[in-house]
Amino acid sequence: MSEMDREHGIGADSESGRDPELEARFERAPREADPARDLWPAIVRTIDGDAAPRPVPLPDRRRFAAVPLRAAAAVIVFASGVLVGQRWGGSTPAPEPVLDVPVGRAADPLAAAAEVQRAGSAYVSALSRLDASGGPLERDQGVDAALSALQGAAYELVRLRPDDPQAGRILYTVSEARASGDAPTVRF
Amino acid sequence: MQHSRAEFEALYREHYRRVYAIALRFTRDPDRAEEIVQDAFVRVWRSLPSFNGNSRLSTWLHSVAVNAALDGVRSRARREARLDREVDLDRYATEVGRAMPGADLDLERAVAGLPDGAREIVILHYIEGYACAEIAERLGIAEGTVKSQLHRARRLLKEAMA
Repeated sequence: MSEMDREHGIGADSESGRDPELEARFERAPREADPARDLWPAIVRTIDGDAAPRPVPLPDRRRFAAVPLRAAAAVIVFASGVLVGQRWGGSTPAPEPVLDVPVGRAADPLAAAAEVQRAGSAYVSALSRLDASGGPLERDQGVDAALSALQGAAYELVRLRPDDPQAGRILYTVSEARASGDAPTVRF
Repeated sequence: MQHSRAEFEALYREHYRRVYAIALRFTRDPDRAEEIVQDAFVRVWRSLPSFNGNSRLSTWLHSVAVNAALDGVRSRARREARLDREVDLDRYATEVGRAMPGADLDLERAVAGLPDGAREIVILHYIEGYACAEIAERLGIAEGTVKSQLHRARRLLKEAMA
């Protein structure tokens, strides 16, 4: 019996129906096992991620500069919708943009992190509007699009951190939920 | 309490086999067990600054590992209940043979085949050395339930190994 076992008092209260032969077999059972691969590098990557500075909000000047860009993008999308509507002139209005987030190539890591943060906020805010935006069909379509985006994001997370168990778990759960057609129940 | 990366790696090297054994027996799935080892040591790293030194480091680490394994088993059980998945006991036995040379494969298979609740209790009691009262507290069930599960498990194990 190991020191740790003695600390916990194995067998101290298993007197009801003790089985010495079975206990002896358990006593001989190995308490250690070797994983097939070295897990230390993945642990280091995760704890290094803990130490990395968190994305900080854009300084006011840059945030201010981003406003005209976003407004311009929204105007372009809106104007395109109006033109399409006028050209075909049908009773069905042109589809409205779900997200008006300008998609660009981030120039530096800080900007990339800020872009992810902005897109994430827009995604969540669009989802929160789904409930009020129409009937069950529209809502189902919205949920399907949201899950698809979530799955895409999970793929990217796994690509960025292939050995991060949390990223893998997110991808697995979202993929399984989509494949099985269940309501998504994502636990972290 | 401050710990350097080198000290933490030494701690990992000393204990990871023990943690993997716990995780493997709980999950019966080598991939999931590896995830739990990683999760447990990341939890340990994050909690090290708050480790107060009142208990032995190895005892504390063991407790963190058991919690991580139990959490892992429970989240998997929920998922499997939804997806109707089964554990591959042949793959588990192969992994036990590889990872634990000299293991009593009949016993390991019999334990792995126990129903979920009974299996957790048997591992915690007979292998990890917890008393019934500690198991009851950890699992949030009555001590009498732990004892009756152990009684039932002993019968099932004897039948499986007969």
